[in-house]
Amino acid sequence: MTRVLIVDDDPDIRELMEFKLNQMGFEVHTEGDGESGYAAACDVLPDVVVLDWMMPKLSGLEVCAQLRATPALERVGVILLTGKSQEADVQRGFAAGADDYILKPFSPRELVSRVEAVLARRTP
Amino acid sequence: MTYNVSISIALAVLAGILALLTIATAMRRAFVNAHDRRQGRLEAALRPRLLRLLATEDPDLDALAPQGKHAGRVLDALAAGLLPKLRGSDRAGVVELLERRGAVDRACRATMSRRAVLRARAAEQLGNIGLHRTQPDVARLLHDRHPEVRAAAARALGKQGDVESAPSLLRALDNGLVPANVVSMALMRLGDRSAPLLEMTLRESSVPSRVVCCELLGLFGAVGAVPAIAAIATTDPGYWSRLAAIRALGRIGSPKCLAPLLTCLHADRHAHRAEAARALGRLGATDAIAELVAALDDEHDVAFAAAAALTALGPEGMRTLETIGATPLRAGRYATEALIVHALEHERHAPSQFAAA
Repeated sequence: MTRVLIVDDDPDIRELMEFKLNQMGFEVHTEGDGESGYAAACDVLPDVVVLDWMMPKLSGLEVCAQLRATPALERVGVILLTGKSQEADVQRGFAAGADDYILKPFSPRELVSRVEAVLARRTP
Repeated sequence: MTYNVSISIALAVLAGILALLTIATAMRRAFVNAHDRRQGRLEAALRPRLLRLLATEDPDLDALAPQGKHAGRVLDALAAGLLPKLRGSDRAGVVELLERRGAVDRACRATMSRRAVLRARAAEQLGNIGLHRTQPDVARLLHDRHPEVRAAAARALGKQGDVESAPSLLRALDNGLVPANVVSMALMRLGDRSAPLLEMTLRESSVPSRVVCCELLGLFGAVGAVPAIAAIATTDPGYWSRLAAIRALGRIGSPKCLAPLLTCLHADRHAHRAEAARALGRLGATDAIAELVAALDDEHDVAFAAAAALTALGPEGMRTLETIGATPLRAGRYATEALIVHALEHERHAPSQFAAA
C-alpha cells in the first residue's frame, strides 16, 4: 500500500487530509511538527510526504532538505503545503527539493490529485 | 462598649461580603470549567464526524444533525473555523452546511445585535462564508458606531470578494469611518475588477481616497488608468496623493508613463522628484538616462534615487554611472555609491542563497 506522511501543525488540516487520503486507499501517517515529522519519515519510509512550511521545531523547508540528504529517503516525493505565495518562496521551495507546491487555503481533492501525480512521476 | 460593638459588626459584615465574593468567584470558575469541559467533549465528538463527512465524495450534509442547541452551535463554530483553510468544492460544502443549518441567517441577524462584539463577530463570519446575498448586511456595518465593528466589516467585505462592495468601502474611507490601511487591504482582495471604479474615484474624492486608489491601481498594473494617474502625479494639490500617483506610474510600467514621470522629475517638492527617479528606474526607461544624470546634481535624496535608478537601466545605465563615477564631481560620488550598492545587492541575491536555505 502507498504510504503518505502528513506533517502539519494544524490538526484540522491534518485530519481532513488523513480522512481524504485514507478514503483513496493510501496508508496515512501524521505528525504535528517538523522534528517528529522527519523522525516519522525515517521510521515509516513513506512514498510521499506532504509538508507544511511554517511549523514548530523544524520548518518544512528544513525537513525537505534533510529528507533529500538522507539516502533512504532521497527519492521520496515531497509536496509543500503553505500560505507563502511569493515567487521567491516558491523558488526556495523547489530549490530545497520539493516536487510540488500547494498554496493554502487548499482543496483536499486537488491535494489527492497532486499526490497521485507525484507518485506517477516517481514510478519508473 | 458601643464603639467595640460597631467595629465587630462592621468586621462581621466585611467578612460576610468577602465570603460571598469568594463563593461567587468559585461558582463562576466552576461554571466556566464545566462549560469548557462540555464544549471540549462536544468538539471532540463532532470534529471527526464533520471532517469525515467533508472528506467523502458527494457528502450527505443532513446526516450531521447534532442533538441540542448547544451542540449545534459548536458544530457551526467548527465548520466556520474550517472556512479560511479550504477552497474549492470542499469549501463550498462547508458553506452549504452552514446555510442549511441556518448559521448564515443567524449571522445576518447578529449584525443588528446590541453587543458590538457580536456584530463584529457576525461580520467576520459572513466575510469568511463569502455569500453574495449577505453583502448588504455587512456593508451596513461600515456605518456602525464602534470603530472596531466598522473595521471588521471592511475586512469582511474584502474577504467576500464582491466588487459591488468597492463604492461602500471608498465612501467609508472618504468619510473617515475606516482607516486607509484596512480599506486598502479590503480593496486589494477584491482584485483588479475594482480598477474602473478606483479610476473614477480618482477624480472626485478626498486625498486619502486618492492615495489608496493610486496605490491599488499601480499594484493592479492598470494601464488604462495611466492618464488619470498622470494627472494626479503632475497637478494634484495633495502631497501624498502625488507621491502615490508617481509610485503607481512606476509600478504600471507602461511606456505611456515615461512623459509624466519626466515632468515629475522637475516637480517643486524634492520627495516627488526622488519618487519620480525611482519610478523611472522601475520603468526601465533608458530614454530617461540624460534626465537622471542631470538629477545627480539635485538634492541628496533625489541624487541618491537617480543614481540607484540608473543601475536599474541595464548596461547603458551602468556604463553611464561608471563614466560619471570616474569624475571628481559630486555626481560622481553618487554614481560610485550606487555602483557599490548594486554590486553588493547582486552578491546578496546570487542563486547560492537558495542552496544555502
